[in-house]
Order: sequence, then structure tokens, then C-alpha cells
Amino acid sequence: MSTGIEDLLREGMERFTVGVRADPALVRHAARRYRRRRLAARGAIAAGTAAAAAAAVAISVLPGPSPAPGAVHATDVAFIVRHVQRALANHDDYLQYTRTAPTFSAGYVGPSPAATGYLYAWSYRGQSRTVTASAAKAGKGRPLDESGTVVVRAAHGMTTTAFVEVVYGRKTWFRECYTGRTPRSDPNSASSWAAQVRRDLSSGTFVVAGHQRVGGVDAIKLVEKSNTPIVSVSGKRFRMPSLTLWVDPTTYLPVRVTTMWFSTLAGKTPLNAPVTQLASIEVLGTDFRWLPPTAANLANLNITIPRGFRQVTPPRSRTCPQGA
Amino acid sequence: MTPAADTGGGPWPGPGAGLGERVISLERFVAERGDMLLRTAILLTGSREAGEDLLQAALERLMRQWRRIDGDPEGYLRRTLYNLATDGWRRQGLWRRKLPLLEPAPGPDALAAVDLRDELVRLLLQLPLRQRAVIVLRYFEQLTEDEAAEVLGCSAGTVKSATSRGLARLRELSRHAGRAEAGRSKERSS
Repeated sequence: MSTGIEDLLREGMERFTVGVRADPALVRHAARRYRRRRLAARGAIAAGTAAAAAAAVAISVLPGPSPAPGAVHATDVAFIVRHVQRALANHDDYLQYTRTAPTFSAGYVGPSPAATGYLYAWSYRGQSRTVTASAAKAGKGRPLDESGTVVVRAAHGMTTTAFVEVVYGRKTWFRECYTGRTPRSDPNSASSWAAQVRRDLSSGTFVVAGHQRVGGVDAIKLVEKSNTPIVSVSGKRFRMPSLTLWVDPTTYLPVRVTTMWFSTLAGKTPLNAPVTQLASIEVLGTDFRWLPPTAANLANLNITIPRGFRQVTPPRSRTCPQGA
Repeated sequence: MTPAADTGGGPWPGPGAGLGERVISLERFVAERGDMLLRTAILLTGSREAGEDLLQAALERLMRQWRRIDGDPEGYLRRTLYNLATDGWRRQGLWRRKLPLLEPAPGPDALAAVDLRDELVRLLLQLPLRQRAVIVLRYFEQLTEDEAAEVLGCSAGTVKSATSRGLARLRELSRHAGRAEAGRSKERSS
């Protein structure tokens, strides 16, 4: 292992992708998506010039009974998307709480469905905390891992972000610091989510698929009409990958996001079972709550190191400067 | 293995080219060089479908930015591929980093010896995306540190340190995997 790892890696990567052929249809799919994005952008501009009319349309659409899928016009979609984008730009007013759960179809070769867990995250203005918890029958809700970031110093255009991680299985924790022009972003922070959803929405491929009760809210459901191929797994047909977003009709903030994608493996599975190709569906569902930044809610951002846990050297040896 | 400096697929239509002309040119390019780009995308994302999605997103962005591209569109496409991989896939990456925590004890079908090369690729997919991108650029595309730095828009020093950290992490992960395997073998024999 000490020598030749580069050669073994190269051979492994060659083997992993051997025989792969790029379908020229990829270019046509990309062109179709590009055209739709351009049309959606034009639609958004048209919606902007007729804001009063669009608002009237929205009032009639949003609180009313669920329209049939596809019954809402493109202008309404542009209006809703624009309001979601605007609401996300003001996310700093709230403490964002998310709960993410992955589910896997039969045939998935990673962790067994019984061993899946939840990812809980709290985020407010540059500070965040994430907890991974087990959903297995034994030890249900038990934390497996906890991490958090907080900006500890900002001066002369440079920001120092402290990152703390507690690994419950090993009863250890560490703290490390990153210094750079921008704060180190946590993928589960409110700003990361806002940027991600805004980027997804800007693809211009969403349609309104009616209303649905989610988290006590009669949410607007937005579905991505992806151009990627339809795949068949266990007799069911899926269009992959696809993103579905539910937004609160009064605040336009997301209440739920689901991402669905699938994976195939050629050769051997990680558990070394010989297969030629294996497809599985993975669904990542995230529920959002946008909370007022009260003292009680903000307390969720704090990480408490359990008694008896040992501090270890950070894996990347990025120790924090004195006073940070 | 095709080095980045080889500019097959051209000549490219100018910045004022219409969408139809761009699509024809890109189809020709994908027919010639798409396999290599798709293999790279698969290594960055971990699956064929996610790789195709990544390549398609990069192609779409190339069409969108065509008029603003100064220089070789292939270089832009390659940079976009890596940037999208280390950016938009970040959220999935977070879950994938946490997944080993949830992994149950392997069953008896895992007891067979694992081919080290396959194991290394599996471990590669556990690396942070930036490190994974550097490893793919250096050891799959066989770019120099300077060439890899140009693709990623960072310094050669950053590439060097990320490569070193990535390889060290792979060694560490493979040692862990080896120890776990040895432990299971011992349990079996006792």
C-alpha cells in the first residue's frame, strides 16, 4: 500500500469507467434545457412588467383549491419562482431548522435501509450545527456525529471559521479553524440551502404541480421537469434525477425539498458481490422550519461536548490560532 | 488517455454562432472526446447517471456562455465540469461523507477478498470533492500540477497539497479497510 498507490488508483479508475460511451444525445438534451431556460427567463421578465396583473393571478391561484397539475400558466410559475428567490434572499431574518432523511430502494448496495438515519441542522447568520442520528431500531435517535461552524474572527478582509466535530462512536472531538476571504460554508447552512434552491430554480424547468399539505401548510408544489432519461427499476419508471420543492404560499419559503437520483455500478459492489449493472433509487427529503431567532431557538446552535469525550488532533491539523 | 492540451473537436464556431451551429459543433466534439469527459464525470460523481447529468449541465452552461468565452471552448467545458462537480454536488457529498457512520456490520458475503484497485476507487468516492477532483485530474487525466491548477482556477501549490492530502487519506482509509478485513478473517478462523 505504501508504494504504487498512484498506479493502482489509475488502474482502478480505468477499470471503473472502462467501455463508457458518451451519447451524442447529451448535447441535444443540453440544448433543449438551454432553450427552456431562455424561455423561462423571458417569461420572468414579462411577469415583472405586469406585476400587478401577476399578483392578481397569484391571489386567485395560491389560497384556492388545488389546481390540476399543469393547470397553472408559465407566467404564474415565473411569479412564484421570483417570490421564492426573493424570500430566500431574506433568509437571514430566521433561524433555519432542517431535517433530512434519505431512503433507498431495494437493491441499494450501500448502508441497508434499516440502518439509515437523519441529519438535523440548525443555522443562523454564519453559525450552524448539524447532528447525524441513527434511525435503526437499536439506538433510534442516538447521535452518531455532531458538527458545527462559527465565525470567530473577521478582520482585514479575512475570516476565521472554527469547525467542531464530535464523533460519538469513538468518544472523541476536535476543533479546527479555516482562514480565508470568505467564511467556510456548511452545506446545511441557510445560505448554502438558499443558494442551492435559487440555483435549481434558475434552471427554468419547474412547473407548478398543485398544492399539497406539508408540515401543516397548504404548500405550493413545484416539480422539476428534467430532460434526463427515464429509467426502470423494479418495474417502476422514474425520470432522474429530479427535484421537487414545496413552498409556503404566504412566505414563499421552502417547507420541503426532495431530491431523487439513482446510481448504477458495474463490476463489483462495495460488498464485492459480482454484478454487471445495478440500479437503485435514493431519495433525499429535507423538511424546513423557519424559526424566530429567540434565545431558546438560538440555543440549538450550541454544541456541548459530552463528559468523558477525548479531544484529538484535527485530521487536517488545522489548529486554531490563539484567542480564536 | 488524452492530455488536456490536445485540442480535438475543433475548429469551433465563433462567438456570434447561432445555437444550431453550436449544437452541431458540440455533437461532433462529444462524438470525438465525449467518452473521456464522461469517464471523468463518472469518477467525480460516482455513478454513470450522475456523470451524464454533470456533463449535460456543463454542456448547457457552455452553450449559455458561448459569446463570453475567450479562447478554447473545450478548456471552458473542462473547467465547468470540475467546478460544477465541486459545487452543486456538495450537498450530496455531505451525506455521502456521513453514510459510513450509518453502515451496518458487513454480512458474510463481504468476506471475500476485495480487489485493491476497486477498493481504492470506492474510497476515492469518499474523499472531499476538491481532493477527488485533484486526484482525477492528476492520475486519471494525467495532467501536471500546473495544468490541473489551470483547470481548477487555483495555484499549483494548492493542487500539490490537495493531492498529497487526498493520497494520504486514501492510504489511511485503505489501512482501516484492511484492518477491518483482517479482523473479520481472524473472527472467522477462531
